[in-house]
Amino acid sequence: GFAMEGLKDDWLFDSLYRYERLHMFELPHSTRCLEWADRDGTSLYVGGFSDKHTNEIEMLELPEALQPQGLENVCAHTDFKITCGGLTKPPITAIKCVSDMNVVATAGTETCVCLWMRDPDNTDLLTLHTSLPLRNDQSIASSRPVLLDHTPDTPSWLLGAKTAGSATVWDLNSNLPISLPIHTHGAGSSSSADHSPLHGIKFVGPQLCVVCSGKDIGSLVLWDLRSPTVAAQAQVPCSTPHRDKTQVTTTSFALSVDRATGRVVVLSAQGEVSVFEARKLGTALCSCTLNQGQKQSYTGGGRFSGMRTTAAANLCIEFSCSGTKVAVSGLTNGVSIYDTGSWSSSTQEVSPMFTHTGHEAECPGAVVLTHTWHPVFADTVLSADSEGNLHAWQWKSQLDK
Amino acid sequence: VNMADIKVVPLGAGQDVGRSCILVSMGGKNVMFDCGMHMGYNDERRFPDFSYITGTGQTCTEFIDCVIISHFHLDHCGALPYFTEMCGYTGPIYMTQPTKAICPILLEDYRKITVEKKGEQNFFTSQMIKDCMKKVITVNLHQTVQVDGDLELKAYYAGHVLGAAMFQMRVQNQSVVYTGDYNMTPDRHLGSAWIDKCTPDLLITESTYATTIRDSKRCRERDFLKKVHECMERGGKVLIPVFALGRAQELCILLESFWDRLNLKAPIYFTTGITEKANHYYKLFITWTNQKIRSTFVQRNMFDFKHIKPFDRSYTDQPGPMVVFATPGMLHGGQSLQIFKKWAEDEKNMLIMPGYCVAGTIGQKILSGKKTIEIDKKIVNVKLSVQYMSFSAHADAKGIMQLIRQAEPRNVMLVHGEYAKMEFLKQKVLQEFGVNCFMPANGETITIETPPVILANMSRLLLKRTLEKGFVSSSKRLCPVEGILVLKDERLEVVALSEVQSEYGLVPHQLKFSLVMSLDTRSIPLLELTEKLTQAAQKLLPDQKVVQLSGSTFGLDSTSITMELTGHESAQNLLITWGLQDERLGDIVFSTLKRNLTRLL
Repeated sequence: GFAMEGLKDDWLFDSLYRYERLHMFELPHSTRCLEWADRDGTSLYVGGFSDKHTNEIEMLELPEALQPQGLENVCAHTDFKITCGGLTKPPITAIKCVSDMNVVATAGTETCVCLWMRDPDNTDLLTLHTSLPLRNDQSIASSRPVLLDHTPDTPSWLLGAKTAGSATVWDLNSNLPISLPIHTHGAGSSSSADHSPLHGIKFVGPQLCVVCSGKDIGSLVLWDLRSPTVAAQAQVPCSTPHRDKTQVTTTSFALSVDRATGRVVVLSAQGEVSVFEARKLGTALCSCTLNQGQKQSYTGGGRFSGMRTTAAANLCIEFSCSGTKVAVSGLTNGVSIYDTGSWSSSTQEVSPMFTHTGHEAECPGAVVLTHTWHPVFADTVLSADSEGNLHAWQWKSQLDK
Repeated sequence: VNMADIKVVPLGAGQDVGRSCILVSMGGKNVMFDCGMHMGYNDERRFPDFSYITGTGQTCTEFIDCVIISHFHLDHCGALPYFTEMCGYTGPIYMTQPTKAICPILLEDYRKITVEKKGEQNFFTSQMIKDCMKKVITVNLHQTVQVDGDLELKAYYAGHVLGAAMFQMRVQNQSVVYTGDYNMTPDRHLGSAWIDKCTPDLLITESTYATTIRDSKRCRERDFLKKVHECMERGGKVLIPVFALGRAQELCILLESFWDRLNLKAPIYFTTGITEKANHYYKLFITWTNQKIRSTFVQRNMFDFKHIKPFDRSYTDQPGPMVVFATPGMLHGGQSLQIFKKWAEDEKNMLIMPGYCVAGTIGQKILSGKKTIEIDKKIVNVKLSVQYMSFSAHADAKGIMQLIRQAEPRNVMLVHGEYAKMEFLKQKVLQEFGVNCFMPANGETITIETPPVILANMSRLLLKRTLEKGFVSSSKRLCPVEGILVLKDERLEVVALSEVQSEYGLVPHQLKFSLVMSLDTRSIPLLELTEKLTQAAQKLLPDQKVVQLSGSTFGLDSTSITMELTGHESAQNLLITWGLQDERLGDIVFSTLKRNLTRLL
């Protein structure tokens, strides 16, 4: 009642001091993906993940007020515009924009990747163009989501993987899979590592990928796609996974790569972060525990019916586009910012320099599903929660909390 | 004119948003929804194009059966006095009570700007506004109003502004819902729109924001507070010109809460004039506000603020920070303009324009960036910070879907949108609700076909027989009946077969079908064959009871279907017969037996 409104107002009033900018939106549906459609941060893609009704993939143009030219415009509007969209039955858990090829790829838990294009006659419609099947799809556990990645080094390549063993690279000029030497190695054979849960796979350089997989322990492997052998490997330091009654007893990781510094950061579901040199891996440069608030509790309901997920599935860590900051979500109900620049090999525990608690404050019970940095504006993050809210925020940089 | 169709024509030239006037023809009736004015034009383009009506050869009153006004915004009611007093419409006009109370205030205010400030000639007068409003009939929410013998209407709560309503019009079995402007998210003083599952043939909704996702109300509130706060922190004064009733109210509630929470001391004022009237109207129409306001009103008067006091002109020169809400809203005269003159040249101060400004007003000039303005023959330098906030609440993409989900229309029409293609929205609506979405260009007529309904009486005997048969239908509206449709004396009646026989002396004929199936039954004795056949038939038709009728004949119990073995020992035939009443079943029996019998034997 009134008291609740009062509490919510407290957070709102407080935010006047803590944020440089703050915008909050209610999307038509909640999304697990926030994928930029261009390098300027003008538009982004979101996708629905319901297993009960038809889902949408939409390209949203940012409000004028969140675009470079709108910063000084008094009358700049603050609405997202739905530029185009498409309808699809299966849930979407990954979106990758391959702008050079004018396609956007989506994936869920099926063993294929969908390619979408703008309809030439109705330019606000995205239509399903092709479906690309993964390699070794017969032997894959069904509930794992497919991960996608793309690199501007090889603009026509798209990478998709459900497990290490099913990792496929397609050439989008022909929509055919590329046969790579790495596939003949253990990565492609039926060794146990192949079917273990895949937590992250990302390009770190031209034809170089870092892969994080593992059931109870996390292993990091560097693939040189031109060579049949694994180029480097490492074990991710992490404590024993908690055994939560409601969750499956495996651990989970999230991965982020900073191309500029050549670093890889791995986050575990237990709240530990390790930083590695991407091309060497070996021993972690530093490994520490994140000081965080209360643990995330996802009761799996909310306004939007989504796939039944465990908290671990919402783990997300992202390097900022420039500099050494990382944003973390999926551990608590908010998004925390850490500055890895001050970390060393002796760092044990780190506290966030800022935490965005707006999702919980505005909508109790909401849980952050994903986040992304704005490609252009400094210290600006977009985060999406389980109730369909999207926040775009820039914290005040002189704050230390 | 095809009576079963519904025709919709948005009146007016051009594709502009901002002049709502939709003409709907159904069941021989013509209804005008809204009669708005476009405030961007100075000539006849500001009014809807009524030549469509006069072009039919009839007068406005003859052609239009009634006019509905959804709410008091000028782009929905601004042309009403013109329509009644200058075009001569004298028919019924419907709107809600708050709308009727507030419309004339806004109309008069606008009239003043147009005639006195801009010196226009051919515009309606104050007396015309008064005369026009005298013709208005007010309606209550959810109350069915009979316009005439056939036409009825019902208003639903729309949110958006005080007194805004969505209207359902019904003629016999055709109905249309017109939404006007509505809002699906409640705010600090108004609830959200609501409609029941009235399943209209057509839902007409504004689509101005159909492809947008608006930032949340709270986000815009925060923005407002941030601006006010920043200005106060540097010792500046904030001027907020207010126009539309309700906006001032909402902002007052917000500031009151903020001042309370942060224990702020700087004064907040509102000038006398419309704001006072606003408070007055809110008290009057308390039932139109949201639940929270209503329940608080019981405890304490929500409209008496702790921190917000009436303004006195002498306060303008008081030093130190303060916030003033002043009328009128576009700085087109009155107190807000006087205060602006005094505060404009101090860059510590701030002007917050809370909405749309009509072209030609000072408000609009300032928003477009002018740094010097001439007021009362003196030049004023605009040095204060100019801010713009749009607080108007419209339904966006999500809101439209929510409303469609509530009303369950058979068709949807989007009007006054931006007609960049909305194919995606069309697909979404089709996918989720299975209904078509129409998007007429302005001036384009759209025809919606509605399924014609034929009313017929049912004879008592037939009704009794149908109920006896025990038809269990899952649908409350559809129930299959078997009878004869008789058209007599221009009346339709559905009667039982026996009634037709007796009343019209028609001799019924019986139609019987028979088919012969040859069986390969060599070396199976007849008796055994009969038994086997019975068993096989029963197995293939587990829902039916196969009974032996005589010798080598058996049938399906409770039907006219019989099966008989004919022919001789080595080449048996199976003769299947059935009457017309069991035509479908007989067909099924035959094909099932044909496919499987030889295998089973």
